[in-house]
Amino acid sequence: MRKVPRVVLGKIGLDSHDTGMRLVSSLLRNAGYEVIYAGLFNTPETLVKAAIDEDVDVVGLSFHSGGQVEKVHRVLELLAKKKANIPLVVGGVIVQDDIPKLKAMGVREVFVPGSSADDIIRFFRGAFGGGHQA
Amino acid sequence: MGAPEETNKRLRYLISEGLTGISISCDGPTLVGIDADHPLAEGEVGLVGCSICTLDDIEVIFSDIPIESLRPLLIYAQPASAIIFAMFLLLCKRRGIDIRQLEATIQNDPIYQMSGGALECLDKFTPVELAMRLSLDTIEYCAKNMPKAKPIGINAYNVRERGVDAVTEVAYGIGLAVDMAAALVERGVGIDEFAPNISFFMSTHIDFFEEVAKYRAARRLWARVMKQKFQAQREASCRFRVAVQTAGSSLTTQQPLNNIIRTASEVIASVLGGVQSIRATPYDEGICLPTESSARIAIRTQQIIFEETGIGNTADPLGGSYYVEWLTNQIEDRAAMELEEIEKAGGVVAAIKSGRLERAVNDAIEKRQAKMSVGEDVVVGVNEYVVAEEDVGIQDIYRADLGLEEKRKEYLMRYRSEREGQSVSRAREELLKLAKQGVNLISPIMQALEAKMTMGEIADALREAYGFVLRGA
Repeated sequence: MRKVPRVVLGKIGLDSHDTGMRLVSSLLRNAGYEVIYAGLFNTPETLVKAAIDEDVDVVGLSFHSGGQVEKVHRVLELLAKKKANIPLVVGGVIVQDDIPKLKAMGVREVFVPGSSADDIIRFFRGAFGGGHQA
Repeated sequence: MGAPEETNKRLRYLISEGLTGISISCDGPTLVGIDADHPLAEGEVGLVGCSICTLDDIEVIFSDIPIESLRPLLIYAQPASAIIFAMFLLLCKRRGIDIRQLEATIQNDPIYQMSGGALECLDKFTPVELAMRLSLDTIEYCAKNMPKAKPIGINAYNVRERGVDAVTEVAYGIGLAVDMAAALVERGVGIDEFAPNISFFMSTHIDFFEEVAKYRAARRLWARVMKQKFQAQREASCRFRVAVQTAGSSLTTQQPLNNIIRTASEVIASVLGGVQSIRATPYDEGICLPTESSARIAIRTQQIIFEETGIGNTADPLGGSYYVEWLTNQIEDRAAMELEEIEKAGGVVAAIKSGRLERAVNDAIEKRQAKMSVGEDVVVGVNEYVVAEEDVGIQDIYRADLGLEEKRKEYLMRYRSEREGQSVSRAREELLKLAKQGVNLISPIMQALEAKMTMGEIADALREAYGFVLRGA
């Protein structure tokens, strides 16, 4: 893994609640990560393409309107098809029942409301390295 | 609720609980003006609201509901807003309802209707020029045919909920109203013909006195703008009419029942600020669509405050308080300054395109997070008084029916196959032709609907008239 891990952040679908993703984007940048901000209105296809084209180390997906299990499933399917072994992190309003489901599918971590900035950065450092020293 | 049938059932329940106005939230595809079977709608149908694609859908939603005695509220983004408004007009026509008497409210905001990324959303699904025209068409149509309708509710709520402060909310709200009023005057509609029916939609946030002062300040600023800039003659033109919703963004996912208290406090601030109508946000806002029980508590919150506390016995009860008067002056001055800057930038659309609003939003989000993480801003249950392992405390989380998408696709396929192909293509040609001319599009859209064009097809024809291609499909 390169010294400065590269993360792509995006939302899939038509939901446009982007406050959380913007915040995480600036958190990660300030902590020394390189963030590719894919923003709103991605399809699983466009997001996976961005992840591969930009050669990222982590994909971060944000959800606020449900349907995350189906969408994450599709993203994982596409990544597998491209033989791209890129870890996935999910954040947003995720109903409790979906968290074990997402993790069983292979999502590395799920951050729900209440996750602190420290939690997120600590996890990224532990899992993907990089970032400034705390 | 996802399906028109389900929405109709919930509406009837709420009416039996004492509801006096009705509004139907739509799903993502409807919000951006595409049908449920569009490729971009995949995985989105019925997720956050009702899927509305055809004139028949509106018939189903309002079946057995006496729309003439309720105050219907249509809240959609363009181009769906104008199309659903046209569906509604046809529904009234079929039922023999006199639209001149109808007290309908159409939010009809051309640009703020999407929840996030004003800049990213502005031209993504519909060219902003088309959105603006359809909103102006709706207002003009109402000024001529529906004197009791409120054809524009500027959605400053969504601007505020993205993180900016009360001052920016007032400035961008009034700023958009000014731009639209100027465009209507240019069309030849007299200011006093439509201004009395302009209203605003704002967010009552958690800072109690600031919110009271905000509504007082906005009222003064609006009156001044109408008198000085537009030379409005009628007193009604100068009245700042505002519907509010309590701030969804002030509610927490943690310990969600605490939100009932937050909402109650915001309802009280709204009443003391003198607003015209209030929607109390249900306590499960941060988790799911409201359940029957959370929707009921939201209604009861208002009923207790209005009917038990006597809070509405006098207007402006905080007028004369040194603190509230001082805050009102502060907000009024700062909002007037920001409004002037927006005007200098060339209006609200230009200000958004320049990234001005975007920067304000990003700054606000970061500032708020910084304050919360050092504990300068306390949010109970989030950064203070946290409980370790909590049961969400909501037993019946509403989950969307993921099978709905297939049902809606089948429905649309049937709808399209059962109509007369020739009259549809004729209607499409006619609509395209009229959209390229400068005419008011409400009646042409009604004709297209009667020829059984769907919402998405009409939206596409309008986009095509503007040479706009929807990307991402």
